[in-house]
Amino acid sequence: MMNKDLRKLELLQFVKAFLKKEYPSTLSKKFSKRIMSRINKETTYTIRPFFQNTLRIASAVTFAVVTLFLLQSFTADDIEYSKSTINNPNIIPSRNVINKPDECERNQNQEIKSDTINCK
Amino acid sequence: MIDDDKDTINNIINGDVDAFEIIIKKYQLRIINLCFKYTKNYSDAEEVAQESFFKAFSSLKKFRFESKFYSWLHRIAINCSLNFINSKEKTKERETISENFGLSGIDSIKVTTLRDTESPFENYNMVNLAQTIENAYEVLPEELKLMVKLRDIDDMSYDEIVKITSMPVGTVKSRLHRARNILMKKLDNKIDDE
Repeated sequence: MMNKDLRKLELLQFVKAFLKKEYPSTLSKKFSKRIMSRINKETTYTIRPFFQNTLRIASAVTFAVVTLFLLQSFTADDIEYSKSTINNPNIIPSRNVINKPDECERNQNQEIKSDTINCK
Repeated sequence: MIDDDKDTINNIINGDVDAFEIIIKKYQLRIINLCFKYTKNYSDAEEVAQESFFKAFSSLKKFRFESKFYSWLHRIAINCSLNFINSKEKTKERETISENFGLSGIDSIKVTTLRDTESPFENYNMVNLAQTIENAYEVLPEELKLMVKLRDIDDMSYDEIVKITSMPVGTVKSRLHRARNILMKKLDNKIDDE
């Protein structure tokens, strides 16, 4: 149907051009086909990356959403807070806790000196 | 401004790429003729016209319907023709330099050879076809001939034809349709014979 209409359109344009005496002396029969094949070639090249990019963006967004959801569900605060105030004044600090780092620990990465051997 | 091509262009923009062939078939002769005015060679004119149609297709989304589509296409064809002339002049300059240095213009020889290989059977003999149509037009009944003259040669609108001929628009349209059909059939037969 489309081809028949195209043929009719082409014939009508020929008739008009001939009557007005405004026509080229020669015309390739494949003139329109050549342009269309070039257009079809170029459009498939441009459409393909478009879909590829869309797919990439969509998969990246999906991955981000899933990761966020998983992170949120794993780090959810499960601590249940007491409704009443807890009073515990007898908190005794541990005796072994000191602010000074252990002497041996401090010397761990240093050269072994005669006095640090004693630590072991 | 009403553009006859608006629907076709919208279809193309919306993805119906094949509809662009309607545009090509409609304007190919006018665009090739326009390019010929610049290139002075039909082979080059066809090449430039092809480039113009392709450029028009590529930038169709930029067309805002502020002017007639043909005016826009016309401008593109002129720009392509001017670019072609400039590039041809540059090639000529390069060839002259090469010849002065004793080199042959191999590239230009290749192009010419490729163009010359196209068989004459792959082209329409427009002069012969035009002669057929001129003869067929001459023997049309006078009432049909008048419609063709007013509408297709003098580019009058239907309103203007109605005023001139004092005929109802329906009669004008049906007579024009009959006349065009006769001419198109003659042309179709001639093309098949060739």
